[in-house]
Amino acid sequence: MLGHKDHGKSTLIGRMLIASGKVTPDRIDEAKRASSEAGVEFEPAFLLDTFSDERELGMTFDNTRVQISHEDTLFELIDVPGHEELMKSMLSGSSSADIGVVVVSAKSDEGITDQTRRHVYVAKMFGVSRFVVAVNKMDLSGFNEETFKPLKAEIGDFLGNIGLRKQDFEIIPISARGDVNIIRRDASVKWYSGRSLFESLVALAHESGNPHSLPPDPRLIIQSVIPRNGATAILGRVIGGEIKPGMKMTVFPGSQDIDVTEILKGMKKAESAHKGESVALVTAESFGGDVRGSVLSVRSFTGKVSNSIRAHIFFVEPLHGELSLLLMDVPVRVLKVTVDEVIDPSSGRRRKGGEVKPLETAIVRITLGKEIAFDTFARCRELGGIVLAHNSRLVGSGIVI
Amino acid sequence: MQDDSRDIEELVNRSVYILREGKSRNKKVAALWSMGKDSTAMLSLAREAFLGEVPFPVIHIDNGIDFPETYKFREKLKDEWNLDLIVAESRIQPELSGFSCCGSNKTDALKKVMDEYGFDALIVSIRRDEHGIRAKEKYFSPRDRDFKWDYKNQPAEIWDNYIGMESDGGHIRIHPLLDWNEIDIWRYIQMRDVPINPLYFSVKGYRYRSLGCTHCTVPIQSDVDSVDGIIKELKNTSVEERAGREQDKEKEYVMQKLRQMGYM
Ligand SMILES: Nc1nc2c(ncn2[C@@H]2O[C@H](COP(=O)(O)OP(=O)(O)O)[C@@H](O)[C@H]2O)c(=O)[nH]1
Repeated sequence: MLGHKDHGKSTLIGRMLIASGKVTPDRIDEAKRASSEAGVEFEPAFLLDTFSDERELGMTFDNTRVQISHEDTLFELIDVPGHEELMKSMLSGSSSADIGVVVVSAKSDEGITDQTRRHVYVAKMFGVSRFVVAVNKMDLSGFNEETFKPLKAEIGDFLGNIGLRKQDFEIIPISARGDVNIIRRDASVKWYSGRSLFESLVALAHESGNPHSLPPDPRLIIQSVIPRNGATAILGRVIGGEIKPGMKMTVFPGSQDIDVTEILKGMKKAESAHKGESVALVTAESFGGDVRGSVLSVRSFTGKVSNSIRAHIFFVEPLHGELSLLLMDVPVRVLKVTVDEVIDPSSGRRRKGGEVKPLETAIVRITLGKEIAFDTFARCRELGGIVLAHNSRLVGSGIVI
Repeated sequence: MQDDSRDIEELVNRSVYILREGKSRNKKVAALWSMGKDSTAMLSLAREAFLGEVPFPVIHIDNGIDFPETYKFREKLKDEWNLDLIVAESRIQPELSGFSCCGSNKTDALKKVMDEYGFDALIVSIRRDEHGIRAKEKYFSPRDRDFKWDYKNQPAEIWDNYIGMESDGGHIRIHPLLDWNEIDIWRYIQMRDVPINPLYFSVKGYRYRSLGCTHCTVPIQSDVDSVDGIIKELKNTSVEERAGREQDKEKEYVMQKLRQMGYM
């Protein structure tokens, strides 16, 4: 759930919670009572911001996750804060979302802002592949088509420019406060013949989503290694391909070969393991060094093993001091970061090299203190989503390209 | 009305991943076990994650007024699953109830045990759907020395990278069940045949849906006496889970205070 502050995102989420029957009448009454005690008028937004100080300040501090279901489709809404200084929450939210709902206010002095563009750009970069743009507060112009048209054109152009195809987004005129075009299309808005917000979400959710091509080779990320009856059990998550007992596999980096003798899912033996599964692989071999964060694949591994990574990073702090790179939460020392090109996500403007400022993105070359196994984000999310940190403070995060 | 269509195996895979991460990243991990359905399901998931063994101590914060069935269940499962059980005794103060009761007593007892054993991480079986305030919880969440939760400045979680996890003399909370809903827990219990506290099943027309101690838990009217029956019941109810807990009848911000004070 993306958008500039005050464009009506919380109101819309509150509306969606009520519409899906997620909030019981008790809770609505409670929120109404709390509002009147605080001396403010009840807004659907209060159903979401449950902390009293958030309610009083009218802003969200961290991602809030709530589930709603509509016509047998279960959605989890992730509300991200609209403030610039809270971009790290925005990155956390975007990295786990499939669909972006963007709220843009049609009020004359609001419209599409730098923040709106930045949010959409970053969400797309972090893997959100489909968008629903809710043009909100249409009630203020009496749902005038002339208010909607130029906004629609501007948004459509922007989404096109950042690489989205027409079928990847929808732009819908709504009123969150007035509850128009959210669940069902409102017949009184005669000039609009498209879908309601919920209809559009359901349609996008069922579109065979993930445009990311799966790596064909078997891959598992090693979390830890524990002894098992004189042999070794490798605990980890499969992130691609298929693993079977009897398979010869290789640990990257390092290229140590192992034979998988047994696969365990929970306490049961299994005949194969696939993407997304947490498993234990039993092998007779043991490991000399620390293999946490290493990738177990086959000799013909199609990812990369190198100490040099090209990436597109969104920065929340300037580049400074000792950095470490995190991939699957395993830190590696960074020796050097070279900036090739800076791209401002709020305007799309590009410039060659030089300094990169917070809230800008850059194409960089990162040199590490040692080799690691990775892949491009487009091919394998788990091996292509990286973070740069300084003393465990977030400096930037982005994707391997 | 709860949705019973979620893929339980997908939730299991995620929780197993989190439990393994939690164990690898921290030096000395313990888990809270109330003998309720959630923390018992969590222990079953830990057994799935670690080849049949629960590889960390489990802490029961015992105020001495839990139900007899609960103590009996504790001893039975302790033996069956070979659990390293730590009982942290907390004293009940009769003049306190609800918020102050659960808050001060249980938190004090937990602090003592954490100090004594030097645990730097604690597995807590909360679910995001339990309460509005939990909508902001993360899989890994630092608490300070006084167990306080700074929800405004939480670590970023970006593609399973966790940045800013310093807990400054405090500890890390690990939340493997965050993504689960009440009905998912029951479906897991059904699928894996997880042993369960008998208080959840109906006796003379009443059963417990959520378990606290004898002082702040009230049963709901129900004839259901099987896991299948509970799942069916949840599909058709619109009453919230914790409605049977006195503590929740107070205002919502009270929960916030509890969390910030370090109560789980
Ligand atoms: N006229 C009108 N006002 C709205 C609508 N939706 C939200 N608002 C108002 O816009 C303001 C900001 O809304 P809020 O949901 O808090 O915005 P957020 O900061 O994006 O979450 C509030 O005063 C809302 O009442 C709408 O559909 N029409």
